[in-house]
Amino acid sequence: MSAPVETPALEVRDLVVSYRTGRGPLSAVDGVSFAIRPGETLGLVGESGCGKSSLAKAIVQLVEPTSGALKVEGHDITGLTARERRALRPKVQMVFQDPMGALDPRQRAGTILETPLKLNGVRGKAERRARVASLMEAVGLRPEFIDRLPHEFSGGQRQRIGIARALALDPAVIVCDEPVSALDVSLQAQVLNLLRKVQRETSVAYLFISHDLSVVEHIADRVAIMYLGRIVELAPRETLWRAPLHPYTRALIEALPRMDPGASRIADKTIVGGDLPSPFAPPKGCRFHTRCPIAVGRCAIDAPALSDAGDGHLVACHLAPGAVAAPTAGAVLQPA
Amino acid sequence: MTRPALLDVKDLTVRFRTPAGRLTAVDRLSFDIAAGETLAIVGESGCGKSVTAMALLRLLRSPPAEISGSHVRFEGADLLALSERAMRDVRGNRIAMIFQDPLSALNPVRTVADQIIESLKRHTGLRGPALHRRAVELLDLVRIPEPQRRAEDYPHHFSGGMRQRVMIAIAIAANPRLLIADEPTTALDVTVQAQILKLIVSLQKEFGMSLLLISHDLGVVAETADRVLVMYAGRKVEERPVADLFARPLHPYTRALMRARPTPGQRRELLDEIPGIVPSLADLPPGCAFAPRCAHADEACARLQPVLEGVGGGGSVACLHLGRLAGEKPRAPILEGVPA
Repeated sequence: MSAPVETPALEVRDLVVSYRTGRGPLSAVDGVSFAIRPGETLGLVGESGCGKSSLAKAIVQLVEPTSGALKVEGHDITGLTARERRALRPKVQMVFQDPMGALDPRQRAGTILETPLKLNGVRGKAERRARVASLMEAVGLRPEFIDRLPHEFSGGQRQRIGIARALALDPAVIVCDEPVSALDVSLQAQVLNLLRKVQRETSVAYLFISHDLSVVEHIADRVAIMYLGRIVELAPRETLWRAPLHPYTRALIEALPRMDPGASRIADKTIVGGDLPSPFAPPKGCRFHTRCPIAVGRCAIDAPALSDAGDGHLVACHLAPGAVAAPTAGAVLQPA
Repeated sequence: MTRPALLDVKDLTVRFRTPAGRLTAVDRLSFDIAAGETLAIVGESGCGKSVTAMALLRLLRSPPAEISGSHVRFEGADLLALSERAMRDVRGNRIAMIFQDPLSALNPVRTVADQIIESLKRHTGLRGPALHRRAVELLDLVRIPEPQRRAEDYPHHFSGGMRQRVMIAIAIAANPRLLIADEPTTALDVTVQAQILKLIVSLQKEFGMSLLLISHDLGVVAETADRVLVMYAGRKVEERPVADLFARPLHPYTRALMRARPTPGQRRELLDEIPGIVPSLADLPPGCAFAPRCAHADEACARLQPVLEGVGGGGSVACLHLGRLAGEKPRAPILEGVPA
């Protein structure tokens, strides 16, 4: 990215999302900070229970953050009144994992795409029709599909409608929550390519959430790894893949199935043991220490801070080489 | 294959009667699995891979399903010809199966010990206190921590990965010769998926079982299988030893599938899409089912259904243009640049 000082499309600072539940309080997101530039894709990888969906919901304002700041194009939405917030809502859109569940089965494609325009003050019917047509073209849907119902589309086409709907109001950020996980491989490629094409044309920023590191490695510019509510590593894509510093990141990369039977067989792999601890009672100190192959005494006591290991590579591990302690919030929030 | 086949399937065909007409979900499928061997069937939704697994165990309701074929020979018997009673002694005993979703396969109101004991009672000679002892042993064998205590827990007390371990314990309780695993790790997280696959493979070795792995994930297949069978629209399009398949896929569909997937460490700006969608089984083209989406297809492909041809190493491929494809160099190495 060229521009030196740019307002991030999305900035998340010290975000906490807690729930009160029947089993006691649950901190799903526990102090997460990052920023995404316009036109950039931040991949967010984590396993179930790591808090990635709660983070997504907080960003699109489906749940109220407990504390922390959320800035969209520089405007902090956490301090705003409901009315002010509504004005910023079009700027943050979401594409869901299950396109069938995210589309009203009784609305035709044209209506699905026209509704956000109507709700946000595009008054002229002709203008709305033209916008719907251009959205459908942008995502590769033929114009005659405009009167089809969701069930008349294939899974990949439904996801295209979801993407078109997210684009309708010129958002700054689209939160893509496992957008290809429910699709077959051949359709995944179509949707991933479409997301890339859309970004090139609109400079929209993506927060791309997935459990699949290989998909994230393909689509993201930078990647954040989340474990039990916290980011444990954040680095440019290439760096994260070639030189991961956190033991959990290394475990995820090792576990990833590879299409190379000569070099990679499950029987020869060293797989990190154990299950994710209960998010209701996360381990003290480093939350990964109960499963970490290299943990030392200190790891069970002190929680490591997310520290800068150089070149925008952040890691939260006492044993990571080169990680300088105690970053300022600024170091986290101003990507290189 | 030099080893005698434990399972020998010849021309297995599964049709369904539906309001839309008769669909052929599996079309004259033949394969075999040797003792101790792992065969993976790979393909996308609707290719017939799970229906094949269900048909082998005769778990499909008929009607609407109609199963036919020359034979499904297993340990000397033809499973297609067995009485339902005799089939019950094969199911869960000589051939066990695990599914994608262990929660719906387990009984929610009985402890896991009870459910393992049920399998032991049905399929082994064990009785009395030995049953419970063996159940705990099996939980230990599938690496469930504190098996003695966990045996008294109910399925909902377990995480997804632990539930799949319980399913595996039930499956191996009778010491089956063949384990069918239908997408056993698809619903699981990456690290747990790897744990479970590693467990299945190590138990397979320990018990000397054969494994039929059904998966949509080429990576999982590459790391687990000895041989791989690729299905498209109910038909086998390619079957090869695992190393051959990934070094040099021959069928255009296999190649397209591999190139559609992101290859970590070797980023391409765009992935190679497979255009279009899988054809409806109710409306298959007369020729090669992949022809409408195939970059190599010509007019003959639209008319003629290709037959499987041997390609060496015990492999076979169904493509009219096999000669041309086998002769040309693969367009680009697809497996380089992956860090160890």
